[in-house]
Amino acid sequence: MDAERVRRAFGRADAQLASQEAGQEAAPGGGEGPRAEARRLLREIAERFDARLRLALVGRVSSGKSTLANALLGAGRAPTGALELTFNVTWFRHAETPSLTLHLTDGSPPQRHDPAALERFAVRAREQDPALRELLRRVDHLEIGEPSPALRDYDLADTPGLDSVHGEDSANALRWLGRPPEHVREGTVAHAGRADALIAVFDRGLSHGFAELLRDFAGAGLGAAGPVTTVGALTKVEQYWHATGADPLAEGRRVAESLMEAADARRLLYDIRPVVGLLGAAAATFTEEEHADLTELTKLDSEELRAHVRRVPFFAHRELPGVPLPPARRAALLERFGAYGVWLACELIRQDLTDTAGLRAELLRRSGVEDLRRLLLDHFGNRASLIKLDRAIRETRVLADRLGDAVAPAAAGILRLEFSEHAFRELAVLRDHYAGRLALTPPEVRELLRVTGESGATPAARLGLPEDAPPEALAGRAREGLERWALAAALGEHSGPTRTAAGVIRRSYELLLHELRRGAA
Amino acid sequence: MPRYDQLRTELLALFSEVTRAAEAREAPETSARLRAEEERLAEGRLTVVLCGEFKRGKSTLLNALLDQRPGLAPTDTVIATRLVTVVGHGETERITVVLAGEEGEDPVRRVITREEIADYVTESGNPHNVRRALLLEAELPHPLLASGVVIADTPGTGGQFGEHSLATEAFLPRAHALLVVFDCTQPLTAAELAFVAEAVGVARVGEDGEGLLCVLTKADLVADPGPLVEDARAKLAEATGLPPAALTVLPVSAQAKLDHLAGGAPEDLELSNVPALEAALWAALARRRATVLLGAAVTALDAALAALLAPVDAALAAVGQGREEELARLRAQYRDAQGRLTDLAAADATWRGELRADFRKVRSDLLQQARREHDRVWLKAHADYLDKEEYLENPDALVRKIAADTVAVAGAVSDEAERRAAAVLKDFAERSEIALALAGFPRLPDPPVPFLDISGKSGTVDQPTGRLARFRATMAGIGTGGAVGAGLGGSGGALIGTFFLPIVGTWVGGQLGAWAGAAVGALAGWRAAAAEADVELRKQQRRALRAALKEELAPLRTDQLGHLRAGVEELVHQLSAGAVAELESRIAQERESIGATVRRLEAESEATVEDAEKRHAALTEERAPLQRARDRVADLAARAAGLDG
Repeated sequence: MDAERVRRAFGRADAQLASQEAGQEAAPGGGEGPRAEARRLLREIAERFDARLRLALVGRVSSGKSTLANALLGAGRAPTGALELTFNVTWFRHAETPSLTLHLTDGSPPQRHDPAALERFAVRAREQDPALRELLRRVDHLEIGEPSPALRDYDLADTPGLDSVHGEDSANALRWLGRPPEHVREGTVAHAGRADALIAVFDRGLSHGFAELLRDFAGAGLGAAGPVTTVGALTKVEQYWHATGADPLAEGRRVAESLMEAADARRLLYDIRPVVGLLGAAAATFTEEEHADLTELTKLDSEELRAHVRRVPFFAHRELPGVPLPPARRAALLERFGAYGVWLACELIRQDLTDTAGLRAELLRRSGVEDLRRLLLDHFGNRASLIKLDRAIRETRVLADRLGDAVAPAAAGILRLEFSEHAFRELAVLRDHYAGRLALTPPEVRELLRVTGESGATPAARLGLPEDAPPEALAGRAREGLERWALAAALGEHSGPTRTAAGVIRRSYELLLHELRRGAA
Repeated sequence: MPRYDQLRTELLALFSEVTRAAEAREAPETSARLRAEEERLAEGRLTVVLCGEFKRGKSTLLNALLDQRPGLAPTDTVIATRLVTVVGHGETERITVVLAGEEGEDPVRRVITREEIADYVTESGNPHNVRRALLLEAELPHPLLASGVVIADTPGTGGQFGEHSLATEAFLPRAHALLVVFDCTQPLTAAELAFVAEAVGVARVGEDGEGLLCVLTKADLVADPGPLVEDARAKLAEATGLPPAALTVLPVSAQAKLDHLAGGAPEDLELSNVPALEAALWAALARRRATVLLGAAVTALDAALAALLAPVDAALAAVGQGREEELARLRAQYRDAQGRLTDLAAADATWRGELRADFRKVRSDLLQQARREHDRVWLKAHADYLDKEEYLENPDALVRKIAADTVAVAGAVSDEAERRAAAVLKDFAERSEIALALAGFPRLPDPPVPFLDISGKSGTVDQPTGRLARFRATMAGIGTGGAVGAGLGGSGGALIGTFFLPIVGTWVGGQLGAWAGAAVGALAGWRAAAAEADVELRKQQRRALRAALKEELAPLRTDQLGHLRAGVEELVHQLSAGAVAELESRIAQERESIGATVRRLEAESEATVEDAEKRHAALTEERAPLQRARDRVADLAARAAGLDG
């Protein structure tokens, strides 16, 4: 997709509005006229198009969103528990050094704080400090700057929750803040509505509750919801280890698969991946001292440790004969890693994975977080421009509808992008595919996903060849695809939406070929 | 603290001993009364309803309580329980699924294997209940169940509406103990608290919450369950209005109990805390129901022993008196009594009219209560439910809710009916000329009026197999009792019919399914229209819909009230007939006892003075075991009263 063309379209719209504005009197009452408003909003839309992809975690209160945010970022700074409600929403953005900024609702400039202030806020919130309450009441969202590599690809929002009915603790926090209970849901929907793509977080693998949550999700009016822009994360899968002793990720995958079979799931979600969020968060941040404590625990054999660690209250509080470490240190490990995490880390250390970096990497892998990160990158990252443009066009359309004639001619140039950009036709085909409207064979589906950028945006990735493949091989593969799909169209093999899809795929190959020729020239 | 099951076992043993004594003395009425009462004690059910939101670990807890490993109820990570599972005692394991019959037909019962359970009970094995399963019953040879405990594992109450909630609500009105399951790893939700508050009202678990047990499962997963327990206690107290100290809130780990069963580690049993839960369960059942069952049993035993002792005591008093005129005076006195009793037994005895009058009063009070409480249901429906968008958009859910509320009224009324009937019987015996020494024991509830159709008191001798056969028949009786609509509405009726006395069960539960299944077809179109209309239009539509619904529902209200009235009439009729039969039986027992006394006195008058000492010794010897038995009854009565600690 040609980002420069998009920018040019916005530039032209702005210029057109500016010239119309100049030839017109000021709005009655001296306020902002529709054209001025349109210019301001279009500039914001254009800025968002140029900004990083915005990803929001959405789910029920206490479904493990904040822990998952910590795991995805490899940092431990997302406010959790009742405190997460107090800030409405936390946005994580890339920064060279950690930072903490409060964005306020009353138009006053953002307040920058020492990154360590969050901890102090938490303490003061517990003490119900009235001065803090006055501040928190004015907070629209919290921004945390983090030098996390993951944030190079996207901004991440941690929303408090979709619940309309709250747990008691949440209700108390809200009462204290003087916020009505629906505020949480409203805030969540508002912020998630500003995101380009969503991670839907589920913590209970049950079709009944899941269906309800999906309905909730679909009914929330999140523009971005849909398989192209939404993936699911099944959190807290370590509970399956407690119940069955089996690998929780494998069990989690089984649960995720069954969830995807639920009605509506495929209409809303691309896929669901299981994660042990707590372990993922610990994997990136555990200390040398904690590593040493884990190593100490490997004096117990695997089964002994499993038996002890499963009895969480005893492991955390009791002097147990033959079990290393004082109870307080064991409790600290449990809090950081969870019972399964402690056991797994010891298993890995016992298997000679003793260097810290190696242990981190393996724990991250076994927590499922690595897999989820890759999915986010594949599914969203590689299509980021397209997802953002889709969003920009949607927002422009809403704007044009609202402001009417004064803006329509200028907006038309932007809205036309939807038809002139081939990538949009690809997006439409993808939507048809996720909605089950296409009759394609499994290899054809793989081809569709690949050619539309599922595994990377480079020509090689889209053709399914290694990045160092010679240009002739790339061109050859593209021509092959073009001919195959042209033949299918000529033979009239497909009908309806599938026929349209075949045409779009053929055109994708054409454009790839064109791009390759231009590169060669 | 004495346990119900221990007292029950001792009482059952005492019943066989005293029945043998009665049979040896040719006292058929006393024997028959003893056998009937023994059977009631043996069959007396203590109903525990297990409920809570979905995925809180209810089925795992059931498995842990009943030492089921591998589990009886499937506890898969994916699939969830969707049917009510009722577990009671059986000598051998036997699992039955009840399936809805064809249109207008009775439900079909099918015995299945443990492995087949998942095919019926779970969403994955039985998607959208295509098999039309209504209920799963399991008979298990487990000691916890042996003394009549029946546990119902209900599906989760996660959704605000829907079949799952209905099945749970259908159960609540007759629960003797309510075991509500929360989860240490999930925050207590407002929905859960609201459910408990409502359940406490419907299940009437006692004004001080004595029948309510709250457990926080998965206590093995958190380092410090203590603060969670206290937190939950405070919130539950606030939600239910009960004093925090009166609430039983226990952290338990079903998983740890299952680990203990697998590996035998004592730490796992300790961590599970399941023994404490069992103790709390017994205490709750004792306070709620067990004292009623035990009270009736000790009262009957004491009366029987009194009847058996009286002739012996009279003979002892007379022995060796030698004076003919004194003996003649005694005989005349007892003959007088015999004459009075004969008059009492007569069909035109005045007490019958008095008793009928008493029951007329009960009937009119109950009808009033039914009408009042039913009015309240509809008041709430009009003032509250009809304001809720969810219900407006889903009239079926509204109808189900009203049906469930009405069933709760029926439950309350039938409880009250039984209580009132017991009180009438007791008062009547006390104040009437039938001074039958059956005042019962202090601190124990009034013995209930037995239902005729299961009392077996008509003098017929039961076969030993009769009890089990009848248990099965009661379970099978759901066909006639349950209105069988499609889906769980029918099972609401079916399962209540299964559990309780046929009359009450049929009345309370039978209609639920029919009401809940009542199609509000005319209104279905509203839903689609409402979803598409804009805000202003929707407001108008809502008003119109509300009015239309009120009108549409009016016949249901009339139908329900008619059903409640008919139920009261039938129940009072049965109870009053039961009371008459009970009093007749008591008169017969008394006549039997006095007859024996007169015979003994006649024998004494013919005996010689010389062997008076020998006769005295023989009578003393005869009396001793009866008196010992009576002392034991008194002791058991005191211990039974102590159950409610």
